[in-house]
Amino acid sequence: MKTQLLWMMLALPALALWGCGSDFDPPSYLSDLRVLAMVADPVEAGPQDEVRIAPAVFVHPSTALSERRLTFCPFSLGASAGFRCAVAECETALSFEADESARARPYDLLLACAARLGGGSGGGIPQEIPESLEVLYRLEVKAENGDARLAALRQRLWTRSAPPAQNRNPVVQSVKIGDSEVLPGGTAAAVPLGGEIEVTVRTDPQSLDSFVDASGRERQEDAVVSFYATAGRFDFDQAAGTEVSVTWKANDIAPPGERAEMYFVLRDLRGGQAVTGPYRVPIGP
Amino acid sequence: MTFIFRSLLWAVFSFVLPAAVLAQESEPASAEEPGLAVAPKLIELIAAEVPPDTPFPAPEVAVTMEIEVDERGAVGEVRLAGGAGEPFDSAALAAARKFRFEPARLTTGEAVPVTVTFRMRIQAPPPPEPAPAAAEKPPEPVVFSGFLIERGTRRPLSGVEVSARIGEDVLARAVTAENGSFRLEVPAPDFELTAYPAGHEPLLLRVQAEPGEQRSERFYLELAEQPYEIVVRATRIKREVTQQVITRREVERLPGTQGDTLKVVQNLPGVARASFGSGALILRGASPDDSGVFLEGQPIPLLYHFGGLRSAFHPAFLESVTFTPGNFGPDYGRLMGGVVEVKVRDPADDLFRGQADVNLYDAGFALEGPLGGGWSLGGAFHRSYIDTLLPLFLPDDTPLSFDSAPRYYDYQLLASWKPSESRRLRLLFYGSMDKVEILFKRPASDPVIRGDLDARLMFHYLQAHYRDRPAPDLSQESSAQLGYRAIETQIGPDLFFRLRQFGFSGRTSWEWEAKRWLSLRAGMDIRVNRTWLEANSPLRPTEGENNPPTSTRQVFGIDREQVFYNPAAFLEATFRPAKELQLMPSLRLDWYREIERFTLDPRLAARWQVREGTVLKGGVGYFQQPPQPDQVDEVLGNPDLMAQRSSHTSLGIEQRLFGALEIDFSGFYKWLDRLSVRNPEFYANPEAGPYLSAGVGRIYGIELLIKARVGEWFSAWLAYTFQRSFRKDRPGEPERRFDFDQPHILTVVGTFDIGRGWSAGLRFRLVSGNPATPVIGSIYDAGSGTWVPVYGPVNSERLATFHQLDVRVDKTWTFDRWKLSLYLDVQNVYNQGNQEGWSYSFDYRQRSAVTGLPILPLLGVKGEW
Repeated sequence: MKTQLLWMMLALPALALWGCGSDFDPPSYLSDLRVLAMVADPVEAGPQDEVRIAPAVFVHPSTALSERRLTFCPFSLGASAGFRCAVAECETALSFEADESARARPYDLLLACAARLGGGSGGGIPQEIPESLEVLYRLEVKAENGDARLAALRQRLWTRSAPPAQNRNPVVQSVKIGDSEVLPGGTAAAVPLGGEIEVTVRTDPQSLDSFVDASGRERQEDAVVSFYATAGRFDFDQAAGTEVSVTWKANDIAPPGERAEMYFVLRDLRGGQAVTGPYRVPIGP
Repeated sequence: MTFIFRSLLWAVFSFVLPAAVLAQESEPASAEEPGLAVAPKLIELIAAEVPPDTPFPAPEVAVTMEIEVDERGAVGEVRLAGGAGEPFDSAALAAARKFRFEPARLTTGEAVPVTVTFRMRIQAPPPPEPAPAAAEKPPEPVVFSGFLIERGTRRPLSGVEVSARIGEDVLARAVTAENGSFRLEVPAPDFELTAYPAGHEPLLLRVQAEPGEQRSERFYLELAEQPYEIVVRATRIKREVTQQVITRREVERLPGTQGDTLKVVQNLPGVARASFGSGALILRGASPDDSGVFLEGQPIPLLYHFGGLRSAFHPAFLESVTFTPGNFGPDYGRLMGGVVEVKVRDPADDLFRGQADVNLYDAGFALEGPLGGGWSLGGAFHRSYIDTLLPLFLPDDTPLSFDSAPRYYDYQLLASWKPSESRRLRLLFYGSMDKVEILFKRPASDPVIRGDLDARLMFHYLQAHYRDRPAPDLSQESSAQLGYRAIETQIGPDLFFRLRQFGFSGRTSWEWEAKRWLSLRAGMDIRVNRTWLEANSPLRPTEGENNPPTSTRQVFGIDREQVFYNPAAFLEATFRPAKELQLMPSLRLDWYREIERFTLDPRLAARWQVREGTVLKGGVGYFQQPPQPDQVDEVLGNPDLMAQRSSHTSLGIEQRLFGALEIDFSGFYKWLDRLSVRNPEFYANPEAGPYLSAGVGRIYGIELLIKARVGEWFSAWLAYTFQRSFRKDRPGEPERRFDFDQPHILTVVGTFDIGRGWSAGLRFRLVSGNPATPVIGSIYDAGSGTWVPVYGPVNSERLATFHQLDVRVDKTWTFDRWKLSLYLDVQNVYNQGNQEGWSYSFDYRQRSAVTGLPILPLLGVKGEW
């Protein structure tokens, strides 16, 4: 094996990523339609589970959401194929409820797909339903201004019994902007134009599960927080840890520039997510 | 009778000329004007022919002339400045018109015409010998001994005839011994000592001694021309008679290579340019996995440190690099691409020598010398100090820090025993380590990359190599290598890869000259590897496969111990039905434990010398290669994969023109099938297995190499390759470009010896941009918070054309016992921003070109003794 190439493949892109997109707007800057998260409950599903999918979509105040579509696909071709569904006829549209979430019984939908295919393995799906597989929810949203976004949520579906280990969504314990804790929907202290403020997000450590990874190591989930704001700039877009802090600067403020709205997405990198916000930060003169 | 007194004329010339040349200067050279640096040097002296029985007014007459010497060293007008009358004047003028010189040169190295004043002494013939009188006691002989040594390297000049003479008469002569020593007993106190070692300035010394005196001196003679050392050969067929030769001096002075012999291969036809100078070998459109590099026949596990910075074997002990981009002989198998063979030279067995070199990012030294009894020993070491310098240049707010900045070292220890010319045993212990530890203060855009990134690659190998000639018509060459290597990579808390391997490889080859027109060669080689592998990582992408963020890919855990053994045997015959025709059919049989299959590779090569300086050559054959070990893993791979196969055909011509021009032109076509490719059904159906033996490909092109040399002061070559490389990953899918399909690759290299230790080199490259897969959209993976690019047709775009000029200047000071060299190697002289890829915004809606290295000056100094 040309393992030195493997090393290069894994390690060097890590270094390259730091230079990636340095001339572009960072992902933390919310200037258009954006899917921030797709929270599934439960994170992993068993054969009896009904799953609730709650997308968190940011719509810029200058426009409105015109269309949204959520589908379920039991057999995905994976990220290298853009998460296309392996069997198009098995991709099922889901309905949104009043709270803008959708529900599905993925195991039932899987069985329906198998029945539709007559038990054959056409299109590259297994002959027999495996003990677990990765199913996919695809979200498509469009805004009135023509902007469109695609998002996908991968979920581990267990077909014989309930998921063998606990995998919950992480929980945001608190958010502190400046010197004060702020609740979602609340307003923090004003920041003068050009000034900066520290933002701290705490994760409930009890909400991080332990698990055994593919190589058999016992691990604890990590908390990774993504930061978003409609104005200004964070010094870092992401941070890892149960208590993370970044600095937000009130610069590059586009008109009308009266305030910034912040959102924070917490992930445990095993499918679990939590979204909190908006947090409003007035921008002073 | 002609009267030839070369020695006296030389002596006159050496005394008179400098003054005469200097007299040409009408005023002292200003500080800003170049002055005369080298006087014209008489290289062909013609004696004045005076008719016999000419009466001489004196025992010796002198004729003074003014001779115009042009910038080519040819004699123009000759004028009498002070005559001795006829026929002496005419004879002297006629002789002077036939003189040849090396031209005078200014301090800038430019050759210039000069006028020299030359005094020719013509001696009267000796009077007839008188009747023998009472025997006189001869004078006691002068014993003159000494050493002839090459200046700067201290290499003894052996086998050189040293003479003591008076005029034409040789009084004594001796030949220098292996250590350069000589001893003469000269029966006269006044004589001239002469020696003309090939490739060196001559020794011409007037000696005035006392009868019976014993004198000993050591003479350091400057190298007048560089020896031709076979350093890099680009061969199409094994054991070509005609090879592309690049001298060691040219290799050391080639821009962009930092004197690294292995990097010179990248300037030869058939070699594609690797991105970011990574050092990946892409030979004749084949994947880097399909080609191999061998050190004395054994696989070398790591060719370059950190993917291309510096080769992992010190060039001090490299004797040659043989490059075969395809149609290689049966000695090598398990490869579909090409072969690079590195030959190691034995340590010096005459004197203790050494060298030390320092440049901007590493330093090294090499020592070697004789131990006696036929043994010689050598060692070399390289160590980088990027880890010391890099933190000084990183800004304080950088999102990463180095617990251990990139650093590497490599070492080689050699011992060679040569009891006779035909027998040699060499032991080589060599190793290398690359290490880097980075701390990411914040996660990257792909959050799997967070925390620590550690990478360490190391190997330590012991190799033995023995060659012998048991009988006049039988020779053998055998080698074995035993070693350990480890690769450990940790990327954040999630991903790791740890490989440890004990490996043994051996080969033996026996050649029998059965008949004058037939020789047979048979051999075996074997590889045995015991490997421990632990990993938590996604599958390695195959060539041409889209590579989404690591966070979106399934991670597999591996904990495996495996033993693979691959024996092989080969047989080759060389038929010479005619003196100019050579046919080499061969067979190679391999067994692959990992797929439990045999492969049989028939091959045929031919050379026909049509006429002097013109050779036609061709080859055809099968070249098969097992899938990579991870591809045939029982759990993560497909053990039912077949050996990948390639059939090569090539046809070419070599032509020498005018003695200074060499042209090598070849065309080739390769078919590939049974390539191990990704099974797209694997993601939806893990039962399907991740790989298939379903890929096919075709590669074709032409290669042209033109080499020119003018004396010792200029050499150049032009390498042009046109090649296309295509793949089809699965039946029914469209054909696509290979990842490194570079239709046009042009490299022009020139090195100039300016004189007075100065030399310069340049390299210009013009290469088609690499194929690139366009991104036509993106989809956000909510679970990881990463954006996944949606790709268009694979490799359907092409990056901008690459072009770059590298320049290097060297200055060498040669002292009696050592040499000092200083070089400045400037890569990318005009700061071209060559595109190496695309950088995308986080959602792939925008992109900008990623460029490679900007202008990069590298300063280095090297001492040799």
